Amino acid sequence: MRAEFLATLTAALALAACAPDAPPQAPAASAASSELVPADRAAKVALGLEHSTAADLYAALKARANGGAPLSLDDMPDWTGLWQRVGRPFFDPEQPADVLTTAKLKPEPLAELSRRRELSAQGIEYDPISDCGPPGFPRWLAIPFLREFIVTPGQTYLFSETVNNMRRVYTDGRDHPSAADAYALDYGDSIGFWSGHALVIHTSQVKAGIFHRNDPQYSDSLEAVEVWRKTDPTTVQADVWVFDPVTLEEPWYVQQTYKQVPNPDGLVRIGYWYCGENPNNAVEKTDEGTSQFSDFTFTDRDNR
Amino acid sequence: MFANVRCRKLCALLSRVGVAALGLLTAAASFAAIELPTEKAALIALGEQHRTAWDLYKDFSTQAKGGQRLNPARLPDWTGVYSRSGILFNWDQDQGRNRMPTAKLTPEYERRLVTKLDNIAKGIEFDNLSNCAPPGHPRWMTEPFLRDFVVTPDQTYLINEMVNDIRRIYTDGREHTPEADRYPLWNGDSIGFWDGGKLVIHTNSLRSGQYQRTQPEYSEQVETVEIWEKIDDKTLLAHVWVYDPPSLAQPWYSKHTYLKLSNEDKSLRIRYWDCGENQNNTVIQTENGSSQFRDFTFTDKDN
Repeated sequence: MRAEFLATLTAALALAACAPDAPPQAPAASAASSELVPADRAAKVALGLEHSTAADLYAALKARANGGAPLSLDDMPDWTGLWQRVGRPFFDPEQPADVLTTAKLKPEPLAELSRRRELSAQGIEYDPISDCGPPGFPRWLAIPFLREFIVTPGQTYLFSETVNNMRRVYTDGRDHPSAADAYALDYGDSIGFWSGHALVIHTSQVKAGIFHRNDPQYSDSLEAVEVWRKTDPTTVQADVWVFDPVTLEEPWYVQQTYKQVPNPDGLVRIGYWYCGENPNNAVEKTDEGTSQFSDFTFTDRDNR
Repeated sequence: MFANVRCRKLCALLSRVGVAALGLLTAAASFAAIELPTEKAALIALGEQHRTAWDLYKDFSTQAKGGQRLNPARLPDWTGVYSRSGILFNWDQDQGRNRMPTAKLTPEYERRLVTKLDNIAKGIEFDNLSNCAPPGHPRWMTEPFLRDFVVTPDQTYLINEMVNDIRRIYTDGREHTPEADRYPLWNGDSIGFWDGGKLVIHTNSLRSGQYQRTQPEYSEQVETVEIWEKIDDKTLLAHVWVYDPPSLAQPWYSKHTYLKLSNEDKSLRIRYWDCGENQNNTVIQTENGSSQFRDFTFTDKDN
């Protein structure tokens, strides 16, 4: 009892003494992150161009952050809550609707994208996620629906409810798997470090895919660097540099924004996403390359 | 300016002393109020003393005076990669190699289990997981493969890599979804509280299912109470009481153990589980209720 009183008194003294002019903690923590990357888009694009690979850019950011600093449980970024991506349904949210892409594509992927957009305009389209496959990374950044960002000192979990997509970002100092053990994965392998409250990620070992429905293809040589940070109480932003020597003439910089979903009563909850739950939602690819629902199998039970 | 610097140093020192002292007190206060009996018979009896899972949960909540919010700076360390230990298809490890489980089933569900086991003995079996459906809770407890457990102050994530199966336990004081908004969910709706290092969970709003392939079925009235605790550096233990009036004549108590895997070089990493990735793994239910692979479509690429 006496010890409790003394401890409380000491803590109270500390709090009282610090209250008048204690420096605010959040800005101090975020200062490091704001210095890590330039503020305006042109400079961020230029930052990507200064590096020949994603690994080089990642190493440069790490050097700039003096190797980064492990998170401490008594100073954790608060990324709790539910989030949703905002912006246009392109990988680059700032891409105008009448522009093919903001990426500088090599001739072959450019021709493929033009052809696919023409077919799409005619109603001929098939999305690989129609068969319940995962969007994969980096497309993960652009898909809709709810998200959670779970920050722990050694690992950050970036979750999207679509087909229960979970990216694991290891910030415990481990490296990527050795080249002998590396193979293409839906979400690749992500390692990272913290600079203040900014999370810097390098991802490699991805499977080939598309950035979004009406976006370019990418190869399994793709690698990406991301810098994630909370910019205000309801906004988390990610600066993303994509390097893919097979499809991109130069690194593609985009910024993704995720807004917190209001949930004051806690009623919005993420459940398990079972993509194959309703056989009448099964979509098949037709011979001409478009999408068609499978034969419907409605029963009396479906009328309930 | 100098005074400010000196004050800040003093503040920092006092803060550290104060926080350390409070930390010691928090540690002292983190001793759990809930003391579970050690004998299985007493744990079974504890379940039987309560008419519903909710009654048992409320009793635990009363013992723990509502529990405590986790101190963000002193979270229980459940990090690492785990796997369930024990006999794969047993819900209760004490079943051993016996044909029938330890549950006290109602006659209807006992009859159904006997029929199922008879069919399995004849090679007739179909598991819903074959079409990539999630196991659902409570079966989630018994699945193999890798798991990780992420503890945050207001929410704990219980993750099984198989079909990316994540249970969310809300420990921020929220209640279950109001009755008017409830419907059966694969992993139900789970709320909980912390009592020292123990996580106490109540789950409702579940779908019907089976505890495991050779185990009984349960109805969508099933509800559970779990108490999770790390009992040593590499062992997480979950006490589970299942209540399901249509299938169980009495609550079914069992204990589940998850062991931390050795991962010194950190090469063991959980990846996305795309159940439909290999079309030649697709299993369909035959007319007699058994399982059969679809016609294989191997190509030269598969070689």
